[in-house]
Amino acid sequence: MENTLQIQEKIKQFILKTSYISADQVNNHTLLFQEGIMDSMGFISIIDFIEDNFSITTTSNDLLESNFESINAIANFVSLKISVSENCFT
Amino acid sequence: MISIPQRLLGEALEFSFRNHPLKTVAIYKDKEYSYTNLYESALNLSSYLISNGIKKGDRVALYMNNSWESIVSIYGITIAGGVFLVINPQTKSNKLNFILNDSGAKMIVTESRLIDELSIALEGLQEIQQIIISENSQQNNNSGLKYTNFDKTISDGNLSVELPRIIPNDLAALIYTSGSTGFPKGVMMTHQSMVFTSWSLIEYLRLTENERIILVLPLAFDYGLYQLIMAITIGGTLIIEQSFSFPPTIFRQIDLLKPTVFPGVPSLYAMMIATHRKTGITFDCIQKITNTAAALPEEFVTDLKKIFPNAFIFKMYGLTECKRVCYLEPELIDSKPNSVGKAIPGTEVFLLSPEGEPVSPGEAGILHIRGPHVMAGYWKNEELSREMLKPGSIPGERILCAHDLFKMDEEGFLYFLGRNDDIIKTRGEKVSPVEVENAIYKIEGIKEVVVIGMPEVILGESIIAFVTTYDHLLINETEIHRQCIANLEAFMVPQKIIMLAKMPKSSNGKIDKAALKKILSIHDGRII
Repeated sequence: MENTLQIQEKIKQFILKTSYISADQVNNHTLLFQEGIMDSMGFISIIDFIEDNFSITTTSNDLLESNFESINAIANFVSLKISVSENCFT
Repeated sequence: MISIPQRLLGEALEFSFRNHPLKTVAIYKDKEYSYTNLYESALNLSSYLISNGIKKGDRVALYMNNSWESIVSIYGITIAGGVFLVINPQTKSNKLNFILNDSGAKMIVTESRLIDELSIALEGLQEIQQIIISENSQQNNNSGLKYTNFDKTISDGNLSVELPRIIPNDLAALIYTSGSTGFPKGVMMTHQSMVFTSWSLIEYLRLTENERIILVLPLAFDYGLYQLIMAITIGGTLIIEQSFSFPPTIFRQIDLLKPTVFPGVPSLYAMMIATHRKTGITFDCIQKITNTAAALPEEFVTDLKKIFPNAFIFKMYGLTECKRVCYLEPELIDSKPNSVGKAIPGTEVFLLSPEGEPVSPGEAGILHIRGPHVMAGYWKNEELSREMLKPGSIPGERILCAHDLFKMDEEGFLYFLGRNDDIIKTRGEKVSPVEVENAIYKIEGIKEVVVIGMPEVILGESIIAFVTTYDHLLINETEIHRQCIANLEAFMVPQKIIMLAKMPKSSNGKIDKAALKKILSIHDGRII
């Protein structure tokens, strides 16, 4: 299983690739949507990305600002989802 | 007692204030404001504007995000007899400078986070006398311009100030829209037009004073502006959001504040549909959703009915030059799936051949629009005005020619066939290809640029830039993309940049756009 740091890095690389911004303009706490780095289309692409790459599913209850506002927030959300789904199988 | 109907835009606020002084007119950042708050703030701002030299007909620009301050400003300016123009806060300094200069605005209302961009845009402008800034900020004043804090302008009114006498023929707003020349043009709207249009929309949307309209579209977009005007006119409530860019914020607000009307555009609905398919999210409180700016794809309707199970779906079509042309009654959404309906109440439309002859049902024709909603013309641009406004059958009357191709069926329902100019419509916004091309040409080493729009389900049209350079190694797609993001509003940034070794040309040296489209289909089969 990937640790949160690895998840953060994967998400960061994805954000950099899709937003065309340079690495020094974003850190793990940057508010991606408030700063205009991502928009509503980007929001969907983030959901697609995390579902495809970390084998998780999002539900309507997950669509909270606190789960998506920054790289950190997304990584924490993904980690939590992974741990919940793993617990389901044990 | 007979009640005198509304004649001026600002009277709507006055009437609704008298009818429901304590009712919530707006919710912004979790704070509720009453009609009394809005009416008093707007009156105070108007007396401030008048005592600072604003006279009837003077232009006052708004360059700010959707906010409480922006709606106070719109009504304050109109009560003071000024002509308001709302500029999209994404606008970069070049274009901002053009609009401020073209309109001859005397004052600007803005917010502190936009002041850097605005300062660059102010260079060389002679007419600007004062800048009003919302949010606390200490502006270094070395330009000779007067900077005032917004809160000061609305905190107390000067009761001795005399409001000007405005008549319905006076200008109320300039609405800037992209032009095919690459420079935006100001659509002139009188009080009469705007009051008429707001009532026509209220009638067919069947709005009541219980309506709570959620505004996620910018007020700079006439579709957004009219949500405010309608909310005030019916005595309803406007839920003000800055944008739809972070969907979870909007989902939370809908859940919390229970709006009844959701005005959107296809790109926004596409995003909601994608979210719904993944998560099953639905919004039961919404009773009406509206779509304009780009055609609502037929395949969206099934999903929209699931997302908004209690809502009527209104499909509409319009252009800034008359605000709105037509709408489809929501009951007909399934039986007339591709139609945008009939003319809005109090107006008429007809289709003419390029020679000016009426066309038969089912045949393509150019859309013409008649009614009090038609603009007075483009600000200080009679030549362009004459291209759009043609003489009608009544001597002196001017009829709007939309330059869009439509057909009409036997029952009079309209079907959009295509555009007659180069303007790209994407995410509900109009984009001039020339404007995007000019931004790319500013990069050193660029040889030729051609920007075209390609039909795309979600965006309406996607923006594609074809580029040739003098030295291919020095410039790449990412670099061009970055330049576009730095110099253009977000919706104008091309979705795809294709570097070519050579621009395809026809025998007479003109760039062959058909060949470019073919290149695109080879380049990426998905878009075609």
